[in-house]
Amino acid sequence: MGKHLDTVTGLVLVGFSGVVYFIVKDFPTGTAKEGMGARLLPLLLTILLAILSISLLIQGLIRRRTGSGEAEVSLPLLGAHLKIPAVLVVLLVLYLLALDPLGFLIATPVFLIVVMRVLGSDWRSSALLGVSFTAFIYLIFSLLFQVPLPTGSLLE
Amino acid sequence: MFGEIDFLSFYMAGIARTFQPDVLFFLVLGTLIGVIFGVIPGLSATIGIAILTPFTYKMSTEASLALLLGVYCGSTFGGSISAILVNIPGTISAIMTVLDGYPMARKGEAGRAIGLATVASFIGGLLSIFALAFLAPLIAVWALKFSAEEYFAITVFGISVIAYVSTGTMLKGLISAIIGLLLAMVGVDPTTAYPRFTFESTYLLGGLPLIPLMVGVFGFAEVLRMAERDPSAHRLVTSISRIVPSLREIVGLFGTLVRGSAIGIFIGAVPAAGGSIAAIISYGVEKRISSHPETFGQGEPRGIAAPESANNATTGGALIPMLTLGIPGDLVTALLIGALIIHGLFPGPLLFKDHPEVISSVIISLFLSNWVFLAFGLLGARYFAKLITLPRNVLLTMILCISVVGTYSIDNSITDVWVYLCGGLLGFILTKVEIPVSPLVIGFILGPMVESYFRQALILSYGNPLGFFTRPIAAVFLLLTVLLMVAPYLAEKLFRSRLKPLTSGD
Repeated sequence: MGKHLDTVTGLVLVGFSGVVYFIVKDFPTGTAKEGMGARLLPLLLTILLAILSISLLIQGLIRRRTGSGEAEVSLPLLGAHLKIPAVLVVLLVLYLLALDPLGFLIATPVFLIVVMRVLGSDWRSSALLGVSFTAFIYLIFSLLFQVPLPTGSLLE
Repeated sequence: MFGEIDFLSFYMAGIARTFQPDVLFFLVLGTLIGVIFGVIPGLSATIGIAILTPFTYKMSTEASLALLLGVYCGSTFGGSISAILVNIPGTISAIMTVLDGYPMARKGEAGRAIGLATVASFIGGLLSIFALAFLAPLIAVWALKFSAEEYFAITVFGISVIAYVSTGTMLKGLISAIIGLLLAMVGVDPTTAYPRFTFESTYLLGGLPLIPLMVGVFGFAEVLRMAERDPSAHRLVTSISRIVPSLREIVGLFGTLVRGSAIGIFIGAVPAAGGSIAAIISYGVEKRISSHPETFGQGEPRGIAAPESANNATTGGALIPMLTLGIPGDLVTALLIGALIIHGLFPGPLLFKDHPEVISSVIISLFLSNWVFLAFGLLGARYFAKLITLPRNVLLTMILCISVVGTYSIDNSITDVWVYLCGGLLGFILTKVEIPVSPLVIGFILGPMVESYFRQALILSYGNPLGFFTRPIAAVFLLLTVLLMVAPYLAEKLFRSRLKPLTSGD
């Protein structure tokens, strides 16, 4: 995959430019009085993006990549190690969905505890941090800053 | 105007108003809060000032300003701490500090990096205050002459600089920047009110919100990246020693610091250009003139000194147009104007004439705040850093939690947090395919401005694109942009023909 990274990325981006162009082409062209309307700059950018993406694609095809250009060690694109980030994303989604019905004070400790467990903590530390941190955040934001945090609509 | 003001009595009045117990207390408190807000990704000076402004109703004018200015200064510095320790810019002005600060920390020199950032920030801030104090009239008058063409050219140049200095090829940097610019066009078109990319959503009519996007792209993506790695791999630096840089090291960086400060003061004074742009340009300049540009990105001290002096120098610089003309230098100064209005004061030339003691108090408060964060940074960075040296699980969870709640608190909007989540996914994916993320964020921030200037310029020139080149300053910057884009390819062509015999089968 590493060898074809630029190629695939270039291809995806070309596709993306195409989709964006499809949306942008219907924007109204304006007059000089309106600074040429809503269409001009997005259109220019989309075209530029398409050109750059094709360049990337070609670059990927010509140069068979031998290594990474970054200082960081980059892990392969797909693999089992993506499991934890994926789980975190799912957890965040669930948390956001649960915030309104359950409210901040219930959803947050649960969220934090599960996240800690997923990251490898034991039940005790997770519970400790989950609850104490929720309380801490609640005090700071809700009482000190007076930011209203979601209250459970299910419970009202 | 300045000829009529007696400098001595001007500053004596300011000192008298500032050295009051309540003003000094709120100054220190504000700076402390500022550093904390700066360190924590997702919280920034903007949020801090916005949240604190309502509390200043009951405070004296000078105390309110001291508090808010303290937050302003402290956060610009504080962002560097997390940038250095965990590769997440605590505030957007630390966006370049990650490039060399983090590698330096990974080499075990976190203390040195923080010390450099602290002193650089301090010097940048201090120099900018002198500039504010003495150059305010001159710089403000010149900046007034700028028209849309100049603003457009400068912002396009700024974006190209970022694409140039970011990791990866210029091509990828530009791609990233363009995606950011396109994302900025989500929402209602400013001139014709035509909804673009809104897909029937009322939320998107207002455009994608900046801070949730930025926190997601930097913060959540970093959480995901950290979570991806083996728990035993320690990406966090735990030992911070030797924070105070040696005098020799500082003297060695003298040129960098002065250059960075100068850039910061100038950029800060240009309305709507702020700490992040100054940091970017300063970094680019420093890298460009260096005899060893390849050291940048690997832990080069100049890579920290340049952006950090520049971003703090924008604090003084941004106050120049704000105090003399009432034009906000950036989002934060816009909020500061709001704070002044609450107390019945309207910034501008009249304020200089009628209430010079307020202006001088502002200058002195800013001056003192720099000393305060210098002390915090050199003596207490360890304690602020402790926020970040917790066990990885705890740290990730805390960053996740604070950034989520911080994002929510901006507008009480869960939708904002969805933006945060998507931003994180985007940032994560981009890093995976080795496209730099900073140009995207900068393109997004500058997008509305770029478009606004572009269209204003076209309106002024009746639709004639050559209008951009008839104004000398604009033409110069556009030329520089083109040069910047072409230079890497020219250089590569030159080197390739020389290296061909040396590479074995490409």
